[in-house]
Amino acid sequence: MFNPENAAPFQIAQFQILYDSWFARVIRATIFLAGAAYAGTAFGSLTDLTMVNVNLVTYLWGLLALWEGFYIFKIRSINVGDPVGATNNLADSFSTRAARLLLQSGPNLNQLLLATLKTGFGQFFLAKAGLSEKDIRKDDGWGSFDDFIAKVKAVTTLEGWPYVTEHDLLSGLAYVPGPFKKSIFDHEITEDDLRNILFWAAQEENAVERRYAFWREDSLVATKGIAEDWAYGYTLSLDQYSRDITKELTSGRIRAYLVGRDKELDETQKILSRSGTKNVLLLGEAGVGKTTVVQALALKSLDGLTLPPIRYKRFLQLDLTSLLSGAEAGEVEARVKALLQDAERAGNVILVIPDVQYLAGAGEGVVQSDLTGLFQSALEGSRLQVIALTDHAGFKKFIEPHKSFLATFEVIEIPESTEEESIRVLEKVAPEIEVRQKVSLTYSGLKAAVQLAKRYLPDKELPGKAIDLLDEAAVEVAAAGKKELSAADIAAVVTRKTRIPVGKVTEPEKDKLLHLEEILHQRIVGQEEAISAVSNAIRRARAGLRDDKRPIGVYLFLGPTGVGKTETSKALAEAYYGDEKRMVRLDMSEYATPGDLNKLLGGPGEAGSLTEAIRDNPYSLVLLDELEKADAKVQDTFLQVFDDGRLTDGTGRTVDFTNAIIIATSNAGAEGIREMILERRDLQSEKANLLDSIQKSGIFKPELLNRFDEIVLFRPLTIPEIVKVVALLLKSLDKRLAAQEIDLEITDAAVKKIAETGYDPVFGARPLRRYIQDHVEGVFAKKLLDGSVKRGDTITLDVDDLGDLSTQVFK
Amino acid sequence: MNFSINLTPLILTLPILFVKFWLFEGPQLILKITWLLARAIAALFSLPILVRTFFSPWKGEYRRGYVGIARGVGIVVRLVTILVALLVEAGLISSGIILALAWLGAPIAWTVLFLKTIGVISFV
Repeated sequence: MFNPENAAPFQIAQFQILYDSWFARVIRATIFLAGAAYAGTAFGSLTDLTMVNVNLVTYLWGLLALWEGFYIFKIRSINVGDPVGATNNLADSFSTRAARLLLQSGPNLNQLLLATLKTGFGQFFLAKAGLSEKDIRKDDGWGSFDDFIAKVKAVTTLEGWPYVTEHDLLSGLAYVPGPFKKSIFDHEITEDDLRNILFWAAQEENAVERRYAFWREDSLVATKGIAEDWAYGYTLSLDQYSRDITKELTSGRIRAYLVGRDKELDETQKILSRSGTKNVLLLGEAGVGKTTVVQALALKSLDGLTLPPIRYKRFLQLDLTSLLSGAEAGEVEARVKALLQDAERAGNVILVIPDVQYLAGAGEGVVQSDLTGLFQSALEGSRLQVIALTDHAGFKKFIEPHKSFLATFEVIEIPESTEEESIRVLEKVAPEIEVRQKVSLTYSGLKAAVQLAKRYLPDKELPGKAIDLLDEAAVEVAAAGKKELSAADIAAVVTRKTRIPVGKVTEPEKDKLLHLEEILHQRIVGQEEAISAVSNAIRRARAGLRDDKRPIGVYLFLGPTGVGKTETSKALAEAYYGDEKRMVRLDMSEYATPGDLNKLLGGPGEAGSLTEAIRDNPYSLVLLDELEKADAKVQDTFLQVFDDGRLTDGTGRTVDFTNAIIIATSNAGAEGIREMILERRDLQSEKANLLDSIQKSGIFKPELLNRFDEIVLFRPLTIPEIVKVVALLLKSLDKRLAAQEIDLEITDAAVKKIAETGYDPVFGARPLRRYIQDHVEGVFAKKLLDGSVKRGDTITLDVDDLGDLSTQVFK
Repeated sequence: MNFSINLTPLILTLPILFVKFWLFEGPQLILKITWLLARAIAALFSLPILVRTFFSPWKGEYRRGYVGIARGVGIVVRLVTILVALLVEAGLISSGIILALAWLGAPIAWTVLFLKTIGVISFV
């Protein structure tokens, strides 16, 4: 129900509107000033009260002054609503400012929209959404007012506010069917985006409020006292091998932003504050915000806003590099002992150990020995407090086996932030980036940073990788002299880093994608089915329709040797990743025994041929040549890759394949294909039978075959197709000669001769290249070297009367 | 069309709100700010820590032979700091109380002066 008539917030708001109207202001000011002038004459002497003359007019003026004070300090800033849900009437739960806004516009949603967009946060929304008032439709067609009120209530509940705020009114206007919803939809802004932008506006408003509110309790009481450090000891050794986070926060060298980690932060400070085990191990992948939790806690401690036992502590972060540098045998242990003694004696140190797995022997060559034993006795005592950080792989491999070391910690897991939480983190970070780079950030830029980082930067987790991406893009935008960062700028950085096109599809690219088959056919002769399958995969990926949790495409190319399987893969790598060299080619016959799995996945001291290549460049085409020759165990390993797009390597690290295209080739069934062609049977209709026979012969397990997006049959090349292949190969030679300013003319007879002689029914088109090398390029090379062919000459390749290839040179 | 709001209940309660604000909320606010400032001063001078660590050696000194001297230095410095802090606190709290009383007394004094002017009461 919504009935403002007798609702207290609306009564106050109506009173404010009347009392603050221009007319009322003029009258109030006139009475007040005239009264003040008159009252001034009443005070003959303030030292002798018998001389003070307070007549009725002066008295009333005095009362008016008291009333104005009451109005300004009480009525103007009053919020009298009941929390949402306390009464049946939503009007009882309005903030006074929201009630004022609604009263000024009435139940006309168009007018409410105009009034809302004219407020500070309305303007902020327009600016950050990249809109102007002109972009907002102002026509009719709004849903009902009751519907609007229902949406407002839903938004307030969703955000968890106790009262309906002005921001909720704007959100409500976006959720209710009407021109505003259509306008923002036209500009690709969702209702959730709008709520996120309003959260951003609220952040900015709060920041301004905090800047001026020095009288607030937390600002006044949270002052570090002069004697805080008088009882705490010096930390000379520790200072050499650590970074003082507290000092860096004080000097503003680092800033802490924390959104959505309240639970973890709270848990951390509770553990650190209690007796018994009071060390914390923060467990989470790179980028989830482990360091941020530590910094935020250090900041709270610095401001005295934590639980009393950890107020005004010094947060020192162990610097392993300086601890280990230049240390000879036994010296590291001595250094560790000294710094631990410092930390214990100081009495106010919380030691932060990043990548604690290195203390337990991870990363050969970094820490020679296991240092956990040295730490353990200190950690068991009550004088040292530690926050250690690690990721899952490090935890599993190096920390978990050290049971007693692990027992000195309470483990707090930090999961990856959701996209929505990450956007709100970026909104908190945004003001600092804007000031530092002098660039205005738009909401679309923030959203793109989160979405593209999640999609294309698999090495780290949200929100860390989105912050890094936003920061990098802001630097580039500033360097380019632009004033505003948009989604396109973020996409440009991602494209540069990954070398794959992201962001909106441009017109030339759209044209290329729609005619991809023709482009691929410039390199590949025939094989319509294969070309069509891979072209569709690229279009799906580029249009954003593919499943993000799997590789871009997983294909099995079946067919005889030399029919274009590898060439198609190269053409695909060039078309999607921009370079045919972005291909990880593995000869699977090298993985024919179960023991060869280690070569593929790596292990201690050994890099995996597959995992390392994809870790180095996740944007690659993986070509598994002759997959049928790999051991069954090796083949099984790919089940997970094809299904989940990820694989755990020999050291426990997860490798991401979701940006890879995987193509397996096999000669299995080649004989069957050849027979079908000879018998002029239709390849497509016989495909099921062929696959059935492959399955029955045990070459591939059914579960593996089922995981391919498509199994493509490559047919043997026909003579006309071979002629086309020859023409393509000679075209490449023509290009190389043209670079030396020599023209090449080839007769049809010469092409036909090469096709007939160079083709091998067993090896397909593969020997053609060798034939051209031996019989054409070899001859040309000699002529170039002996000087019979020079710059500007034309070579004609033909067939002589005897039917052999011949060359003629025209000067 | 606009909403119609019934202002009568608010206007009737305004005098009560005013009296409540002047007699209770206003002085309460002044005393609260005074109390906060007093706590801020106590925090600035680290009064609780000074008391708790009154006999602790200066800068946590633990080397044999230096502990006694460090303890002496600590006691002297802390004692001086505590005395200065108490002096500041006393000044602040008394100022807050005077201000709160002045706030409460202002309308009464104004009324008394008015009554004196119109001859209802006399100071003599």
